[in-house]
Amino acid sequence: MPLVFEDVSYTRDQFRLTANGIFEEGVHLVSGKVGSGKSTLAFIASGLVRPGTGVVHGNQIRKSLLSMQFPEYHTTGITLQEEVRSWGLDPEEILESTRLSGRGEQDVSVLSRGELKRLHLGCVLSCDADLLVLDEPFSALDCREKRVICRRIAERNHGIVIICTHEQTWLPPVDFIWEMKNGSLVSCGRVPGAITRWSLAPRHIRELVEQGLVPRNISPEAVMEATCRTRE
Amino acid sequence: MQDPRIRIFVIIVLSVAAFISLAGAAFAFLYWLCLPGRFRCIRRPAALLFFSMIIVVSVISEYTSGNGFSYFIRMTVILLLALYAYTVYIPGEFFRVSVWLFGKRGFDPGLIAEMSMEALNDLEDDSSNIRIALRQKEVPLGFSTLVPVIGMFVLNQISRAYDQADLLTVRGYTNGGTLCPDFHPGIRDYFSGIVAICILFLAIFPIRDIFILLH
Repeated sequence: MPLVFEDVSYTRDQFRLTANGIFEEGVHLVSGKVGSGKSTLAFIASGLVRPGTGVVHGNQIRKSLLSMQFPEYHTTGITLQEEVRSWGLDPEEILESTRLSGRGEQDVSVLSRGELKRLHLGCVLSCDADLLVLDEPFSALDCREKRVICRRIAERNHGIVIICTHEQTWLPPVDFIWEMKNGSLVSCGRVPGAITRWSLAPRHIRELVEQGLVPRNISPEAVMEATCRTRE
Repeated sequence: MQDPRIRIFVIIVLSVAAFISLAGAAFAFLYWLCLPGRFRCIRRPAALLFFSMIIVVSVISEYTSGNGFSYFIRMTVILLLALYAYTVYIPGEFFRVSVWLFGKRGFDPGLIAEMSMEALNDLEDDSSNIRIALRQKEVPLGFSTLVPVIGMFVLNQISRAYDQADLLTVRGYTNGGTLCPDFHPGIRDYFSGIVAICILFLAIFPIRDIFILLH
């Protein structure tokens, strides 16, 4: 069920985005600086923004879901229970998995940004979507929660997951790496080969690559393994 | 129009002309048709909402006083001008114009105007994002979703206001400040201003009266 970008371009004021490529089944990381067009790409990928030219198609994708950076935008329930139900999910199960048990009757507005993001991602990652686009999923989360989200993304064994982020440390194991450079989508290829072509890689990964210690993936565990690896 | 002073002046003058008479509204509409980016402004989501409000008031007015049609034409033209002004606005313009107009006293009103414009932009973004979220959840916008959605609007605005207040405090703002605005008006700007004044003149003194006076 690949998601195909064919000669896609999108222009808004002075900004122009161009994209060409095929997102195959698996986890994709789209990295790029702030303002490079990651969010715009996320909106286009999930079909919520129509490109100016070109087409985006994924014929076998039945359901796509976009998680926006700010969880407030997704809130349509007054209480936590109502919010979880609005996603068509079981409140008890979700509240327990997001460590918000016993707070179902509370108003969503009393949650901190981090708690709300936790609840929101808990709902999104529990939804059965063929295409899941996560725009800055790690923002407003502490290290512990980032680790939880990485684990949950890694546990997904079907569909396409596109993660648009500028997070440098807490990243899940991914299958493909892409970059947004000057408004253009550039493919680095499949991991682990892609790591050597990843020009926007975090510094600690770049240094490992320069030393010839290419990690098998970009997760902290894989990077740690590469760091501790004995040179042959 | 590059010069925001002349643009704001033109919008005010044309709005007054449109409000005064139907002839003024017709000329202001013709002027609006000549503006670059005129159709871009009517695609804004708020345009439909405001237009609907004008229709409702016009219908009520037509049934009660019989002035509904005139009201509809005049207010529609004013709405088009306002939407145009909002669309072509560049952040910082009101601040610069306010300081140019009122000197040091214009600093605070300019700052308030800028913050208000920013809040309007944020509201527009919020409403667009919420519509996306509702569509994704396949939840129709009804009474049950209206309360949390409006709540989200209000809470977001309060949160941003707190952030802005913190930012101003950190930067040492108490009241007033210094700004040296500079403008670069061109021939087109002056021409646009003169045409707007002519339209206001025609709105105040109908063409028929001018010919009577000439006789």
